Amino acid sequence: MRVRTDSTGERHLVELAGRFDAHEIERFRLVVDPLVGDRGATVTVDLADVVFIDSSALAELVRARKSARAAGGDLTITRMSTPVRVILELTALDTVLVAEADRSRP
Amino acid sequence: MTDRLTDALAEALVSAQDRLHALQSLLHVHTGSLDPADVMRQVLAEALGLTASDAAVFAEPGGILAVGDGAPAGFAARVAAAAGEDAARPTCTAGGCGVVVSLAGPEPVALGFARSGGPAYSTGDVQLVEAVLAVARRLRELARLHREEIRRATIEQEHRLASVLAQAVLPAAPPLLPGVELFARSEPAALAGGDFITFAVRGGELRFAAGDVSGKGLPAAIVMTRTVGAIRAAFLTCDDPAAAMRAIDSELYDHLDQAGVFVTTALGFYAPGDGVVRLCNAGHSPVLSVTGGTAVPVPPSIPPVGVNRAAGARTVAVPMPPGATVILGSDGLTEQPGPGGELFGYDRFTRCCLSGRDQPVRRLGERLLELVRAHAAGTAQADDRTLVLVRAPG
Repeated sequence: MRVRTDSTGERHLVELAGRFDAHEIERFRLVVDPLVGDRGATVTVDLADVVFIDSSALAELVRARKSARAAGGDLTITRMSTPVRVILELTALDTVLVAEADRSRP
Repeated sequence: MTDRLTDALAEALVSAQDRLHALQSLLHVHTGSLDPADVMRQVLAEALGLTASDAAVFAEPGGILAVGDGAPAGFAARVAAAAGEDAARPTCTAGGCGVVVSLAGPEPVALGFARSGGPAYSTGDVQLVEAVLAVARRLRELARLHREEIRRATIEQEHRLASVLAQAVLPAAPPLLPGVELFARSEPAALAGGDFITFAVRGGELRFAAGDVSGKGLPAAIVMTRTVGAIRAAFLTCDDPAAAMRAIDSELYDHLDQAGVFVTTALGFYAPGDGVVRLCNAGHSPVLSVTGGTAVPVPPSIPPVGVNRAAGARTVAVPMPPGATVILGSDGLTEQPGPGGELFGYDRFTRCCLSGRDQPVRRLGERLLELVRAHAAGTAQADDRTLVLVRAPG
Protein backbone atom coordinates (compact mmCIF):
# COMPACT_ATOMS: atom_id res chain seq x y z
CA MET A 1 0.00 0.00 0.00
CA ARG A 2 1.29 3.46 -0.92
CA VAL A 3 1.03 6.12 1.75
CA ARG A 4 1.50 9.82 0.95
CA THR A 5 1.05 12.72 3.29
CA ASP A 6 0.64 16.42 2.66
CA SER A 7 0.60 18.74 5.65
CA THR A 8 -0.19 22.42 6.06
CA GLY A 9 0.08 23.51 9.67
CA GLU A 10 -2.47 21.47 11.60
CA ARG A 11 -4.21 20.08 8.53
CA HIS A 12 -2.90 16.80 7.21
CA LEU A 13 -3.98 14.90 4.13
CA VAL A 14 -3.14 11.20 4.00
CA GLU A 15 -3.56 9.48 0.64
CA LEU A 16 -3.61 5.68 0.53
CA ALA A 17 -3.48 3.50 -2.56
CA GLY A 18 -3.66 -0.25 -3.05
CA ARG A 19 -4.80 -2.90 -0.54
CA PHE A 20 -5.42 -1.76 3.01
CA ASP A 21 -5.45 -4.95 5.06
CA ALA A 22 -4.01 -6.37 8.29
CA HIS A 23 -0.46 -6.35 6.85
CA GLU A 24 -0.55 -2.59 6.28
CA ILE A 25 -1.67 -1.58 9.79
CA GLU A 26 1.87 -1.13 11.11
CA ARG A 27 2.83 1.31 8.36
CA PHE A 28 -0.42 3.22 8.63
CA ARG A 29 0.18 3.68 12.36
CA LEU A 30 3.77 4.84 11.87
CA VAL A 31 2.56 7.60 9.57
CA VAL A 32 -0.74 8.59 11.17
CA ASP A 33 -0.09 8.27 14.93
CA PRO A 34 2.28 11.27 15.01
CA LEU A 35 -0.26 13.30 13.02
CA VAL A 36 -3.28 12.55 15.25
CA GLY A 37 -1.15 12.97 18.35
CA ASP A 38 -0.71 16.65 17.64
CA ARG A 39 -3.26 18.64 19.61
CA GLY A 40 -6.11 19.90 17.44
CA ALA A 41 -4.87 18.32 14.22
CA THR A 42 -7.35 17.69 11.40
CA VAL A 43 -6.48 14.58 9.44
CA THR A 44 -8.25 13.76 6.19
CA VAL A 45 -7.83 10.32 4.67
CA ASP A 46 -8.25 9.85 0.93
CA LEU A 47 -9.19 6.28 -0.02
CA ALA A 48 -10.06 6.90 -3.69
CA ASP A 49 -7.30 4.53 -4.83
CA VAL A 50 -7.79 1.84 -2.21
CA VAL A 51 -8.98 -1.28 -4.03
CA PHE A 52 -9.64 -3.42 -0.96
CA ILE A 53 -10.15 -2.73 2.74
CA ASP A 54 -10.71 -5.30 5.50
CA SER A 55 -12.07 -5.22 9.05
CA SER A 56 -8.62 -4.79 10.61
CA ALA A 57 -8.06 -1.66 8.51
CA LEU A 58 -11.52 -0.31 9.38
CA ALA A 59 -10.85 -0.91 13.09
CA GLU A 60 -7.57 0.95 12.65
CA LEU A 61 -9.35 3.96 11.11
CA VAL A 62 -11.82 3.97 14.01
CA ARG A 63 -8.95 3.84 16.48
CA ALA A 64 -7.08 6.66 14.76
CA ARG A 65 -10.23 8.79 14.77
CA LYS A 66 -10.72 8.22 18.51
CA SER A 67 -7.09 9.25 19.12
CA ALA A 68 -7.52 12.38 17.02
CA ARG A 69 -10.67 13.39 18.87
CA ALA A 70 -9.11 12.67 22.25
CA ALA A 71 -6.41 15.18 21.28
CA GLY A 72 -8.99 17.80 20.35
CA GLY A 73 -8.79 17.19 16.60
CA ASP A 74 -10.56 14.93 14.10
CA LEU A 75 -10.01 12.34 11.41
CA THR A 76 -12.40 11.81 8.49
CA ILE A 77 -12.41 9.96 5.22
CA THR A 78 -12.86 12.26 2.27
CA ARG A 79 -12.81 10.37 -1.02
CA MET A 80 -13.57 6.66 -1.39
CA SER A 81 -13.33 4.09 -4.13
CA THR A 82 -16.57 2.21 -4.80
CA PRO A 83 -15.61 -0.94 -2.86
CA VAL A 84 -14.65 1.18 0.14
CA ARG A 85 -17.87 3.19 -0.01
CA VAL A 86 -19.93 -0.02 -0.18
CA ILE A 87 -18.27 -1.46 2.92
CA LEU A 88 -18.55 1.78 4.87
CA GLU A 89 -22.28 1.94 4.13
CA LEU A 90 -22.95 -1.73 4.88
CA THR A 91 -21.33 -1.36 8.28
CA ALA A 92 -22.81 2.11 8.95
CA LEU A 93 -19.22 3.23 9.55
CA ASP A 94 -19.82 5.98 7.02
CA THR A 95 -21.91 7.74 9.70
CA VAL A 96 -18.80 7.77 11.88
CA LEU A 97 -15.83 8.11 9.56
CA VAL A 98 -17.14 10.13 6.61
CA ALA A 99 -17.99 13.83 6.80
CA GLU A 100 -21.68 14.38 6.13
CA ALA A 101 -20.99 16.29 2.96
CA ASP A 102 -19.13 13.31 1.50
CA ARG A 103 -21.70 10.63 2.30
CA SER A 104 -23.95 9.33 -0.47
CA ARG A 105 -27.04 8.87 1.68
CA PRO A 106 -28.92 11.74 3.39
CA MET B 1 65.50 -43.08 7.64
CA THR B 2 66.87 -41.48 10.75
CA ASP B 3 65.53 -42.27 14.19
CA ARG B 4 64.40 -38.70 14.60
CA LEU B 5 62.38 -38.79 11.37
CA THR B 6 60.83 -42.14 12.28
CA ASP B 7 59.97 -40.85 15.72
CA ALA B 8 58.39 -37.72 14.22
CA LEU B 9 56.34 -39.78 11.77
CA ALA B 10 55.26 -42.17 14.47
CA GLU B 11 54.26 -39.27 16.69
CA ALA B 12 52.26 -37.69 13.85
CA LEU B 13 50.46 -40.99 13.15
CA VAL B 14 49.68 -41.56 16.81
CA SER B 15 48.43 -38.04 17.30
CA ALA B 16 46.24 -38.32 14.19
CA GLN B 17 44.78 -41.54 15.58
CA ASP B 18 44.33 -39.88 18.96
CA ARG B 19 42.43 -37.01 17.39
CA LEU B 20 40.15 -39.40 15.59
CA HIS B 21 39.40 -41.41 18.71
CA ALA B 22 38.89 -38.28 20.73
CA LEU B 23 36.46 -36.86 18.19
CA GLN B 24 34.53 -40.09 18.12
CA SER B 25 34.23 -40.32 21.89
CA LEU B 26 33.29 -36.66 22.14
CA LEU B 27 30.55 -37.01 19.57
CA HIS B 28 29.19 -39.92 21.51
CA VAL B 29 29.04 -38.05 24.78
CA HIS B 30 25.46 -38.67 25.74
CA THR B 31 24.62 -35.56 27.63
CA GLY B 32 20.90 -36.14 28.10
CA SER B 33 20.74 -32.42 28.70
CA LEU B 34 19.52 -29.51 26.63
CA ASP B 35 21.22 -26.87 28.74
CA PRO B 36 24.25 -25.52 26.83
CA ALA B 37 26.32 -25.09 30.01
CA ASP B 38 25.62 -28.69 31.05
CA VAL B 39 26.59 -29.97 27.62
CA MET B 40 29.85 -28.05 27.68
CA ARG B 41 30.70 -29.28 31.19
CA GLN B 42 30.23 -32.90 30.14
CA VAL B 43 32.24 -32.47 26.97
CA LEU B 44 35.09 -30.83 28.90
CA ALA B 45 35.07 -33.59 31.53
CA GLU B 46 35.38 -36.16 28.75
CA ALA B 47 38.12 -34.13 27.08
CA LEU B 48 40.21 -34.01 30.29
CA GLY B 49 40.92 -37.70 29.91
CA LEU B 50 41.47 -37.47 26.20
CA THR B 51 44.06 -34.74 26.49
CA ALA B 52 45.66 -36.05 29.70
CA SER B 53 44.81 -32.77 31.41
CA ASP B 54 43.87 -31.95 34.98
CA ALA B 55 41.79 -28.87 34.37
CA ALA B 56 39.90 -27.22 31.54
CA VAL B 57 38.51 -23.71 31.27
CA PHE B 58 35.99 -22.49 28.68
CA ALA B 59 35.45 -18.75 28.27
CA GLU B 60 32.64 -17.08 26.30
CA PRO B 61 30.82 -13.74 26.40
CA GLY B 62 28.39 -15.16 28.97
CA GLY B 63 31.04 -16.23 31.49
CA ILE B 64 33.58 -18.89 32.38
CA LEU B 65 33.16 -22.63 32.85
CA ALA B 66 35.84 -24.65 34.64
CA VAL B 67 36.14 -28.37 35.26
CA GLY B 68 38.80 -30.32 37.17
CA ASP B 69 41.47 -28.69 39.31
CA GLY B 70 45.17 -28.23 39.42
CA ALA B 71 45.28 -25.37 36.94
CA PRO B 72 48.06 -22.84 37.64
CA ALA B 73 47.07 -19.55 39.28
CA GLY B 74 45.66 -17.03 36.83
CA PHE B 75 44.96 -19.67 34.19
CA ALA B 76 41.23 -18.95 34.02
CA ALA B 77 41.94 -15.25 33.57
CA ARG B 78 44.45 -16.04 30.85
CA VAL B 79 41.82 -18.06 28.98
CA ALA B 80 39.18 -15.34 29.42
CA ALA B 81 41.61 -12.77 28.04
CA ALA B 82 42.25 -14.99 25.03
CA ALA B 83 38.57 -15.09 24.02
CA GLY B 84 38.20 -12.84 21.03
CA GLU B 85 41.90 -12.61 20.27
CA ASP B 86 42.24 -13.48 16.69
CA ALA B 87 44.96 -15.96 17.54
CA ALA B 88 45.45 -18.04 14.43
CA ARG B 89 47.51 -20.55 16.38
CA PRO B 90 47.00 -21.97 19.83
CA THR B 91 49.48 -20.80 22.42
CA CYS B 92 51.22 -22.63 25.20
CA THR B 93 51.41 -21.11 28.62
CA ALA B 94 52.69 -21.84 32.08
CA GLY B 95 55.91 -23.28 30.84
CA GLY B 96 54.15 -25.71 28.53
CA CYS B 97 51.72 -26.98 31.17
CA GLY B 98 48.82 -25.10 29.67
CA VAL B 99 47.46 -24.69 26.16
CA VAL B 100 44.91 -22.10 25.03
CA VAL B 101 43.04 -21.96 21.75
CA SER B 102 40.71 -19.16 20.80
CA LEU B 103 38.18 -18.37 18.11
CA ALA B 104 37.16 -14.86 17.13
CA GLY B 105 33.84 -14.06 15.44
CA PRO B 106 30.37 -12.99 16.58
CA GLU B 107 30.69 -15.17 19.66
CA PRO B 108 34.38 -15.10 20.64
CA VAL B 109 35.35 -18.09 22.77
CA ALA B 110 38.50 -19.60 24.18
CA LEU B 111 39.34 -23.02 25.58
CA GLY B 112 42.29 -23.85 27.79
CA PHE B 113 43.62 -27.11 29.23
CA ALA B 114 46.22 -27.36 31.98
CA ARG B 115 48.32 -30.04 33.59
CA SER B 116 49.47 -29.77 37.18
CA GLY B 117 52.48 -31.92 36.42
CA GLY B 118 53.86 -34.30 33.82
CA PRO B 119 55.07 -33.58 30.28
CA ALA B 120 54.40 -30.33 28.45
CA TYR B 121 51.67 -30.31 25.78
CA SER B 122 52.94 -31.57 22.46
CA THR B 123 51.96 -30.39 19.00
CA GLY B 124 49.63 -33.34 18.78
CA ASP B 125 48.03 -32.40 22.10
CA VAL B 126 47.47 -28.89 20.83
CA GLN B 127 45.74 -30.11 17.70
CA LEU B 128 43.57 -32.33 19.87
CA VAL B 129 42.52 -29.32 21.90
CA GLU B 130 41.54 -27.51 18.69
CA ALA B 131 39.41 -30.47 17.70
CA VAL B 132 37.76 -30.51 21.14
CA LEU B 133 36.86 -26.83 20.81
CA ALA B 134 35.26 -27.38 17.41
CA VAL B 135 33.20 -30.35 18.62
CA ALA B 136 32.17 -28.67 21.86
CA ARG B 137 30.83 -25.66 20.01
CA ARG B 138 28.90 -27.86 17.62
CA LEU B 139 27.30 -29.87 20.42
CA ARG B 140 26.27 -26.70 22.24
CA GLU B 141 24.66 -25.32 19.11
CA LEU B 142 22.71 -28.54 18.59
CA ALA B 143 21.45 -28.43 22.17
CA ARG B 144 20.34 -24.83 21.68
CA LEU B 145 18.50 -25.64 18.42
CA HIS B 146 16.79 -28.60 20.04
CA ARG B 147 15.57 -26.45 22.93
CA GLU B 148 14.31 -23.82 20.50
CA GLU B 149 12.40 -26.49 18.61
CA ILE B 150 10.76 -27.81 21.77
CA ARG B 151 9.74 -24.30 22.77
CA ARG B 152 8.19 -23.69 19.37
CA ALA B 153 6.32 -27.00 19.43
CA THR B 154 4.96 -26.18 22.90
CA ILE B 155 3.69 -22.79 21.75
CA GLU B 156 2.06 -24.35 18.69
CA GLN B 157 0.28 -26.92 20.81
CA GLU B 158 -1.00 -24.25 23.17
CA HIS B 159 -2.26 -22.25 20.20
CA ARG B 160 -4.10 -25.29 18.84
CA LEU B 161 -5.72 -26.01 22.19
CA ALA B 162 -6.72 -22.37 22.70
CA SER B 163 -8.29 -22.35 19.23
CA VAL B 164 -10.34 -25.46 19.97
CA LEU B 165 -11.53 -23.96 23.26
CA ALA B 166 -12.50 -20.68 21.59
CA GLN B 167 -14.46 -22.37 18.80
CA ALA B 168 -16.22 -24.63 21.34
CA VAL B 169 -18.36 -21.64 22.28
CA LEU B 170 -20.24 -22.03 18.97
CA PRO B 171 -23.36 -24.23 19.03
CA ALA B 172 -22.96 -27.73 17.62
CA ALA B 173 -26.54 -27.56 16.36
CA PRO B 174 -29.36 -25.01 16.52
CA PRO B 175 -32.10 -25.57 19.14
CA LEU B 176 -35.18 -27.62 18.28
CA LEU B 177 -38.19 -25.39 18.69
CA PRO B 178 -41.64 -26.20 17.32
CA GLY B 179 -42.85 -23.69 14.77
CA VAL B 180 -39.46 -22.60 13.45
CA GLU B 181 -36.95 -24.22 11.12
CA LEU B 182 -33.28 -23.43 11.63
CA PHE B 183 -29.96 -23.83 9.87
CA ALA B 184 -26.67 -22.72 11.45
CA ARG B 185 -23.08 -23.19 10.35
CA SER B 186 -19.82 -21.37 11.00
CA GLU B 187 -16.59 -22.31 9.27
CA PRO B 188 -13.49 -20.45 10.46
CA ALA B 189 -10.82 -19.66 7.87
CA ALA B 190 -8.07 -20.75 10.29
CA LEU B 191 -8.09 -22.85 13.48
CA ALA B 192 -10.09 -20.13 15.18
CA GLY B 193 -11.72 -16.88 14.12
CA GLY B 194 -13.94 -13.97 15.06
CA ASP B 195 -17.26 -15.15 13.54
CA PHE B 196 -19.96 -16.41 15.89
CA ILE B 197 -23.51 -17.70 16.14
CA THR B 198 -25.56 -18.11 19.29
CA PHE B 199 -29.09 -19.12 20.21
CA ALA B 200 -31.28 -19.00 23.29
CA VAL B 201 -34.90 -19.90 23.97
CA ARG B 202 -36.75 -17.89 26.57
CA GLY B 203 -40.45 -18.17 27.31
CA GLY B 204 -41.00 -20.07 24.07
CA GLU B 205 -39.34 -17.31 22.05
CA LEU B 206 -36.25 -17.93 19.96
CA ARG B 207 -33.40 -15.47 20.36
CA PHE B 208 -30.57 -15.64 17.83
CA ALA B 209 -27.46 -13.73 16.84
CA ALA B 210 -24.66 -13.86 14.29
CA GLY B 211 -21.65 -11.58 14.10
CA ASP B 212 -18.01 -10.96 13.31
CA VAL B 213 -15.16 -9.58 15.41
CA SER B 214 -12.73 -7.41 13.41
CA GLY B 215 -9.35 -8.98 12.73
CA LYS B 216 -8.50 -12.65 12.34
CA GLY B 217 -7.33 -15.77 14.08
CA LEU B 218 -6.94 -16.48 17.77
CA PRO B 219 -6.98 -12.86 19.00
CA ALA B 220 -10.34 -12.28 17.26
CA ALA B 221 -11.59 -15.61 18.64
CA ILE B 222 -10.77 -14.58 22.20
CA VAL B 223 -12.83 -11.41 21.86
CA MET B 224 -15.51 -13.52 20.19
CA THR B 225 -15.89 -15.80 23.20
CA ARG B 226 -16.39 -12.81 25.48
CA THR B 227 -18.89 -11.32 23.02
CA VAL B 228 -20.95 -14.51 22.91
CA GLY B 229 -21.06 -14.52 26.72
CA ALA B 230 -22.36 -10.95 26.75
CA ILE B 231 -25.00 -11.72 24.11
CA ARG B 232 -26.25 -14.80 25.94
CA ALA B 233 -26.57 -12.83 29.16
CA ALA B 234 -28.52 -10.11 27.31
CA PHE B 235 -30.79 -12.77 25.75
CA LEU B 236 -31.72 -13.96 29.21
CA THR B 237 -32.45 -10.55 30.68
CA CYS B 238 -33.83 -8.38 27.85
CA ASP B 239 -37.22 -8.44 26.15
CA ASP B 240 -36.30 -6.52 23.03
CA PRO B 241 -33.39 -6.73 20.54
CA ALA B 242 -32.45 -3.04 20.84
CA ALA B 243 -32.43 -3.34 24.64
CA ALA B 244 -30.25 -6.44 24.29
CA MET B 245 -27.89 -4.50 22.01
CA ARG B 246 -27.59 -1.71 24.60
CA ALA B 247 -26.91 -4.29 27.33
CA ILE B 248 -24.20 -5.88 25.16
CA ASP B 249 -22.68 -2.47 24.47
CA SER B 250 -22.70 -1.70 28.17
CA GLU B 251 -20.90 -4.95 28.92
CA LEU B 252 -18.34 -4.87 26.10
CA TYR B 253 -17.66 -1.29 25.01
CA ASP B 254 -14.70 -0.50 27.26
CA HIS B 255 -13.01 -3.81 26.46
CA LEU B 256 -13.47 -3.39 22.70
CA ASP B 257 -12.44 0.26 22.81
CA GLN B 258 -9.25 -0.56 24.65
CA ALA B 259 -8.46 -3.53 22.40
CA GLY B 260 -9.05 -1.39 19.31
CA VAL B 261 -11.49 -3.90 17.80
CA PHE B 262 -15.19 -3.81 16.96
CA VAL B 263 -17.91 -6.43 16.56
CA THR B 264 -20.59 -6.42 13.88
CA THR B 265 -23.72 -8.28 14.98
CA ALA B 266 -27.36 -8.78 14.16
CA LEU B 267 -29.76 -9.96 16.89
CA GLY B 268 -33.23 -11.42 16.38
CA PHE B 269 -36.18 -12.33 18.59
CA TYR B 270 -38.86 -14.61 17.08
CA ALA B 271 -41.90 -16.11 18.73
CA PRO B 272 -43.17 -18.88 16.43
CA GLY B 273 -46.57 -18.07 14.99
CA ASP B 274 -46.27 -14.34 15.71
CA GLY B 275 -45.87 -13.53 12.03
CA VAL B 276 -43.06 -11.08 12.75
CA VAL B 277 -39.39 -11.23 13.70
CA ARG B 278 -37.78 -8.36 15.61
CA LEU B 279 -34.24 -7.54 14.56
CA CYS B 280 -31.50 -5.17 15.65
CA ASN B 281 -28.45 -4.78 13.40
CA ALA B 282 -25.15 -3.19 14.43
CA GLY B 283 -23.01 -2.85 11.32
CA HIS B 284 -23.56 -6.45 10.16
CA SER B 285 -24.13 -7.80 6.67
CA PRO B 286 -25.54 -9.63 4.85
CA VAL B 287 -28.86 -9.62 6.71
CA LEU B 288 -31.77 -10.45 4.42
CA SER B 289 -35.51 -10.91 4.77
CA VAL B 290 -36.93 -13.20 2.07
CA THR B 291 -40.71 -13.11 1.78
CA GLY B 292 -42.73 -14.07 -1.26
CA GLY B 293 -40.64 -13.24 -4.25
CA THR B 294 -38.48 -10.53 -2.75
CA ALA B 295 -35.27 -10.36 -0.75
CA VAL B 296 -34.88 -7.18 1.27
CA PRO B 297 -31.69 -6.26 3.11
CA VAL B 298 -32.08 -5.24 6.76
CA PRO B 299 -29.60 -2.38 7.19
CA PRO B 300 -27.83 -1.53 10.46
CA SER B 301 -29.30 1.10 12.76
CA ILE B 302 -25.90 1.65 14.38
CA PRO B 303 -22.23 1.00 13.55
CA PRO B 304 -20.56 -2.13 14.99
CA VAL B 305 -20.32 -2.48 18.78
CA GLY B 306 -17.15 -0.88 20.07
CA VAL B 307 -17.20 2.10 17.70
CA ASN B 308 -19.70 4.37 19.45
CA ARG B 309 -21.98 3.86 22.44
CA ALA B 310 -25.10 2.04 21.20
CA ALA B 311 -27.68 4.56 22.29
CA GLY B 312 -29.16 4.78 18.80
CA ALA B 313 -29.89 1.05 18.42
CA ARG B 314 -33.33 0.43 16.93
CA THR B 315 -35.52 -2.68 16.77
CA VAL B 316 -36.97 -3.36 13.32
CA ALA B 317 -40.08 -5.53 12.95
CA VAL B 318 -39.76 -7.69 9.84
CA PRO B 319 -42.79 -9.63 8.58
CA MET B 320 -42.52 -13.44 8.86
CA PRO B 321 -45.49 -14.92 6.99
CA PRO B 322 -45.43 -18.71 6.48
CA GLY B 323 -42.52 -19.66 4.25
CA ALA B 324 -40.55 -16.48 4.97
CA THR B 325 -36.86 -16.69 5.82
CA VAL B 326 -34.48 -14.42 7.67
CA ILE B 327 -30.87 -14.90 6.60
CA LEU B 328 -27.84 -13.82 8.58
CA GLY B 329 -24.52 -14.33 6.78
CA SER B 330 -21.03 -12.99 7.23
CA ASP B 331 -18.82 -11.15 4.78
CA GLY B 332 -16.69 -14.27 4.42
CA LEU B 333 -19.45 -15.45 2.08
CA THR B 334 -20.00 -12.34 -0.01
CA GLU B 335 -16.37 -11.32 -0.17
CA GLN B 336 -14.84 -14.67 -1.09
CA PRO B 337 -12.70 -14.12 -4.17
CA GLY B 338 -12.50 -16.62 -7.00
CA PRO B 339 -9.40 -17.57 -9.00
CA GLY B 340 -9.75 -14.41 -11.11
CA GLY B 341 -10.09 -12.19 -8.06
CA GLU B 342 -13.81 -11.53 -8.55
CA LEU B 343 -15.79 -11.49 -5.29
CA PHE B 344 -18.86 -13.72 -4.80
CA GLY B 345 -20.75 -10.49 -4.16
CA TYR B 346 -23.85 -9.33 -2.31
CA ASP B 347 -25.98 -9.34 -5.45
CA ARG B 348 -25.15 -12.94 -6.26
CA PHE B 349 -25.72 -13.95 -2.63
CA THR B 350 -29.13 -12.28 -2.64
CA ARG B 351 -30.09 -13.93 -5.94
CA CYS B 352 -29.11 -17.37 -4.59
CA CYS B 353 -31.13 -16.81 -1.41
CA LEU B 354 -34.14 -15.82 -3.49
CA SER B 355 -33.93 -18.72 -5.91
CA GLY B 356 -33.74 -21.20 -3.03
CA ARG B 357 -36.49 -19.68 -0.92
CA ASP B 358 -38.75 -22.74 -1.23
CA GLN B 359 -36.07 -25.25 -0.35
CA PRO B 360 -35.92 -26.76 3.13
CA VAL B 361 -33.53 -24.64 5.20
CA ARG B 362 -31.03 -27.44 5.55
CA ARG B 363 -30.77 -27.83 1.82
CA LEU B 364 -30.68 -24.10 1.15
CA GLY B 365 -28.01 -23.57 3.79
CA GLU B 366 -25.77 -26.32 2.42
CA ARG B 367 -26.35 -25.04 -1.12
CA LEU B 368 -25.35 -21.47 -0.29
CA LEU B 369 -22.15 -22.65 1.37
CA GLU B 370 -21.43 -24.96 -1.56
CA LEU B 371 -21.92 -22.12 -4.05
CA VAL B 372 -19.38 -19.97 -2.23
CA ARG B 373 -16.97 -22.89 -2.06
CA ALA B 374 -17.41 -23.52 -5.78
CA HIS B 375 -16.82 -19.85 -6.53
CA ALA B 376 -13.56 -19.98 -4.58
CA ALA B 377 -12.57 -22.93 -6.81
CA GLY B 378 -9.40 -23.77 -4.94
CA THR B 379 -8.57 -20.20 -3.85
CA ALA B 380 -7.89 -20.09 -0.13
CA GLN B 381 -10.84 -19.34 2.15
CA ALA B 382 -10.44 -15.60 2.69
CA ASP B 383 -12.41 -15.21 5.91
CA ASP B 384 -14.68 -17.07 8.34
CA ARG B 385 -17.98 -18.17 6.72
CA THR B 386 -21.11 -18.01 8.83
CA LEU B 387 -24.74 -18.62 7.89
CA VAL B 388 -27.95 -18.68 9.93
CA LEU B 389 -31.37 -19.33 8.37
CA VAL B 390 -34.58 -18.80 10.35
CA ARG B 391 -37.81 -19.89 8.65
CA ALA B 392 -41.47 -19.76 9.52
CA PRO B 393 -42.82 -23.09 8.26
CA GLY B 394 -45.42 -22.82 5.58
